[in-house]
Amino acid sequence: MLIFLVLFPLIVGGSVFILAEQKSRNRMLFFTAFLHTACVFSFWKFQPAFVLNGFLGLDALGLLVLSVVSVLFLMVSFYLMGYFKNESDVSHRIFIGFLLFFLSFMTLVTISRHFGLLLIGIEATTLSSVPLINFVKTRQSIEATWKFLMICLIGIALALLGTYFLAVAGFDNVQSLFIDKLLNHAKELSVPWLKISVIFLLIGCGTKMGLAPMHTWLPDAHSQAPSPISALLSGCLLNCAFLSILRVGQVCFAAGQTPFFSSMLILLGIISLGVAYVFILGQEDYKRMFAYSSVEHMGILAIGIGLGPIGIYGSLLHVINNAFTKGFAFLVTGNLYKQYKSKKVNDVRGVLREFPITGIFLLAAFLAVSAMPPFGTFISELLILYAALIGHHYLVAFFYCLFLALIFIGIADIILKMIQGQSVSSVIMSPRLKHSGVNCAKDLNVNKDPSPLGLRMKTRESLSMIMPILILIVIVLILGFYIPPFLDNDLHKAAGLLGG
Amino acid sequence: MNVWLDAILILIVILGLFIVASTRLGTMIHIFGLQSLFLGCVPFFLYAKEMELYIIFVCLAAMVLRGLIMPYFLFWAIRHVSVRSEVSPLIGTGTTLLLSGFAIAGAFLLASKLIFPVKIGSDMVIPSSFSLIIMGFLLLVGRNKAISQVIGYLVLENGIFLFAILLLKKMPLLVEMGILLDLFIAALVMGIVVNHISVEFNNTDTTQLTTLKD
Repeated sequence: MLIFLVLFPLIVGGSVFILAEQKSRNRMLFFTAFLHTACVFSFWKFQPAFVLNGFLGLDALGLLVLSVVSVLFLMVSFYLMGYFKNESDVSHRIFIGFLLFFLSFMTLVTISRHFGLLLIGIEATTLSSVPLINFVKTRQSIEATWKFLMICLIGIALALLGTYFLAVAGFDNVQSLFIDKLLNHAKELSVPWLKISVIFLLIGCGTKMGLAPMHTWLPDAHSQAPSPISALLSGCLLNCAFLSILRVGQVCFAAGQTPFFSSMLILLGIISLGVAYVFILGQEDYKRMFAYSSVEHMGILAIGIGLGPIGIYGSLLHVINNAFTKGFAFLVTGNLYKQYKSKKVNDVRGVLREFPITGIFLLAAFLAVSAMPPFGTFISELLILYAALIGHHYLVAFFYCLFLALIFIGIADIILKMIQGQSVSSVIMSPRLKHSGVNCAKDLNVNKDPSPLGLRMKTRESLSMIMPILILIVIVLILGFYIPPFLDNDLHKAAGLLGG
Repeated sequence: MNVWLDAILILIVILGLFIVASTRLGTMIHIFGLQSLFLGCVPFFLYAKEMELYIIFVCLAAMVLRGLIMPYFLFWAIRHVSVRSEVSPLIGTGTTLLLSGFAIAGAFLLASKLIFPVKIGSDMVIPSSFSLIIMGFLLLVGRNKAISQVIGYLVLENGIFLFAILLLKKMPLLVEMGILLDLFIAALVMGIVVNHISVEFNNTDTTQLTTLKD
């Protein structure tokens, strides 16, 4: 069953290259995603057995991340049907093919029980997402792709070195990189080699996860990729990288090195929050702002893992909340970009008046991203704060609250400006034109826009671009009120694996 | 036997210095290929007494992939984008060489601190591997041309492969092969992106990639 889950998207992805018709390719994508999700849901009821000599297997942690990946991918594939509707003249053969490869490799990451295989999976996700980020072949997107490719590959190379160090740490008695075997013999690992391996793995996987100061690829890639891809990168890929860090954490916990691991994660987490705050404040590009918010949330996840049992539970809950929140936030930016054809905050005004549904969604995205009470993110971030206070990490709690508050102000400033006010066309037409017509004309020229802002055509908000967002919002809202028992059970089990 | 192994390792590091010192991309690729071929020989000396079939297989695969196919592919790339040399690197070759010297010294220092659990054929393997890794890094940060950066990444990977040779006996074949293959695909994708850069920007100078910033 697990092999099927990896191979099926791979095969369909390959066959998509042959299919001639765009519509059937889109349907194929949705169908595969649906089948994938159905399979994953069946795993909640029947735990699949280990296959391939124990290389593949599913534990509570893997199941959690796999479900998040699968559901978000389904929503994005639903969304893509509407997203591509108006651009049927462009061929999306490569795009959809690699999207399916991407799904397959992410599945591989979540179910691999061997550090080598895990790394191969992560590297494969990097490579398969390159054509996705470089979909619109502009100068900026090529630049973003090059940065993404170089930085992530170097990160993975370092993680590979870390894995070799881990193998050396168990040279005398473990002699393998199977996670289960390492966990069973963790006490016998040589401590200096284990520590250096943890450092390298944290830096390597942290690069992929977007922890500052290794995050530099993230804002570029997220802002230049098509919005559905940004949603996948932010909601799925970063969580897969986080999962690999959690695997390292499992080994550290079993080897009794949790304090070392925790302190490093807390440090990286606080730095990420700080960096996110600095760059969110006064950000001019709304997609970049959400990208930095991803850096922030990755920092929160890292801090939570470092704060002991309650923090770990909160952090794992935050994995789900954050993935869905970021997923729908980026999908909303996709809707915005479709309407305004610009990523600049200043070009977008009065969304609520002009596009009521998108406006409300944007407001929801703002509230969920900055963890306001009705949403699930609030609960998980509160749990992490609680863990910090209970564990007497007052300094951590202080910086955590400080940066979260500052980031809230930064995001509020940007998003509320976009939501409220008059629509762009009237704003541009009245005061600035009167002031200096030349200036305005220059502005329009710089803004390489196929249709000038004033003459922009209003396109209707299509159903398939609204439904997925609505579903994700509802999921995050429900998680804010009620955590279903089966999920709670899995979260407890997963936290137990990490010592929670 | 040990003398030969040491000699090869020294040669590998010196070839690394050569790559760092040269500005002509063609020379860099040639030397990289040569270095990879020597790298593929290391296991034959290291495991001379306990040779197994899969070790030979992995070594040959590494030699062919890194020593022949990759240089061939890189040559194809520079013909395609028609760059010949690294004109004005970010960090000059003299400085890079000096830094590499320090890096080699540092690598020996670090390796003396980390004690390998079992006895290995030569004390030089770990320091050489660390030196190559750092030299790869220097190339990555110090050069502007996209192809030089790719070569830097490959040198870094060579260093990691040298370390991996120590574990060849204990690690399953699958993983080693997977990593080799991954590396190959990585180089392929990078080459394609380099091509995109050259088409869009009319050259492969990565200093021009500065439109995205905060």
